Amino acid sequence: MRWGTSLTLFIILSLAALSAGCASNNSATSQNTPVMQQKAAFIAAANNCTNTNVIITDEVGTFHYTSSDSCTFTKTLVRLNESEMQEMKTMLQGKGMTCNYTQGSFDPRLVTSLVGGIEHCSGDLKDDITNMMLFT
Amino acid sequence: MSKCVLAVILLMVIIIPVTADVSPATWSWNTYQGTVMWQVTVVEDQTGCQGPVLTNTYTVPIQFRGNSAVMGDVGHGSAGGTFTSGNVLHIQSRSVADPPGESTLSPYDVFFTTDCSAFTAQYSWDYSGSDGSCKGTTKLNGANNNGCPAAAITTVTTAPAVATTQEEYFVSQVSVPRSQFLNMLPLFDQRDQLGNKIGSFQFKSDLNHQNTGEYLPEPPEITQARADLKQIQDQIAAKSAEIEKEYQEVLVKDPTNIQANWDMAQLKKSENQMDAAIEYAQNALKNPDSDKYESAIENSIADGYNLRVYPSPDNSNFVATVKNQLPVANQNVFGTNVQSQSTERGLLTNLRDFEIYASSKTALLYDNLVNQATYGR
Repeated sequence: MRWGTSLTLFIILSLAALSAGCASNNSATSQNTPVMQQKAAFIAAANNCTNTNVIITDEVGTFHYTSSDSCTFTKTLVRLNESEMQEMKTMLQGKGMTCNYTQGSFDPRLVTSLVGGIEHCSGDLKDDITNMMLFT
Repeated sequence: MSKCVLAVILLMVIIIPVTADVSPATWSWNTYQGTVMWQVTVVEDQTGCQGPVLTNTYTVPIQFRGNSAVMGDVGHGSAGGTFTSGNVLHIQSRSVADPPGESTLSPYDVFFTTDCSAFTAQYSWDYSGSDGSCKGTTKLNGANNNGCPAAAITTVTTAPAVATTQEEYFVSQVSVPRSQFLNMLPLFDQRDQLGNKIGSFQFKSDLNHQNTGEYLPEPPEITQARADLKQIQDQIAAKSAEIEKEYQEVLVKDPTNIQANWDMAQLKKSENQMDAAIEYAQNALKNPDSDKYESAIENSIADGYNLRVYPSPDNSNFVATVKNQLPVANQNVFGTNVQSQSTERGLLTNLRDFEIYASSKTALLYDNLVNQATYGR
């Protein structure tokens, strides 16, 4: 009787542990949520023209974002994802752009996308993104 | 005695033909028709103008047309001349715009070696402008590592209005203005850097005025940047006018020539004449063979970016992301709202739309590309 109880308890606990592990791995946004949160926090800080900087890795690559108390935003492509061809990495990595804005009017697309909002920016990264439009 | 004579005769019979067989072949450029690219070292002595001795190297085409030839821009624009002998090209004196004034160049001869590997030339120039007048000299040393062309065309004919094949025309007719276009790109870089520097200061000054009612005092480096920018813009305007004239000569004969129209679109875009730029881009698309050149253009673009393959949404996550986000940005990246017409975008269709997107882009499409492009190597 004790063996049966122990075995049953063991099976139940194992299933519970397995379910917990599966649940955490199956969460659709468990990996994205930190990135989204990071971006949201930076966007809020930039909108207030706060001195801040953050490095965020998303589906494109790793970017370094900064904002300053003079409402100047910079975005630098630190590293493209590994799957990108080497020549693209050589061409794009390390490139950056600078954008000026007014307090309260920071365009969140500058952080959440590659293309949105860059019309008010200048720099090599902006120029290369523009050139990439040819390839789409 | 007779044996000695016989031996001498036999030796002559053997040696002379062998000698003849190994004598070096000589080449005459005045018998050739085609375009050859040269690496030209240009040494410009500006000490007579209180300036330095400048040394630059350019990749320059020379378009050989039998008894005449046209050399691409080595600093004073392209120059045409006539051969006075097999390998001596005489170029007449001429005046060229040299903002803010003008320079008069002396006549000079270009001496080509008979093995096609090099040429030398030297001319003097007299500059005169609102900032004074002075003299200087320019030395040219050209090198060609590709040897003599495969065969000389001994029957010299006038250049046809359209070449035997589109590819030949594609290369030969636009190679001279294209090399000038390529050599002008450093000026565009300087213009853009100065423009960005001035623009950044101006933005902050305007913002300060908005907040406090006062503009920021202009620092000396910004004042100097404005003066430098004006000078560079004048240089670009002068060189662009010459390049555009040469492209127009191509377009008179071949109105839908892809390369000429494409480059003209870039030049007009750099001058902020977007309507004209779009028209040239659309003319390129009217070429009935535009599809045929698409792969050549793709290779040229990829080559210009030092890419082994033409990047596309299929092989590049970065490009795929740009493509996916483009409709989200409402095609308003550069202040012009354009609806995407099709999800199937060919390269040349992209070119047309790109012209629309890039209405306020200050750098040229070919920033990196054209420095490495096929004609400019």
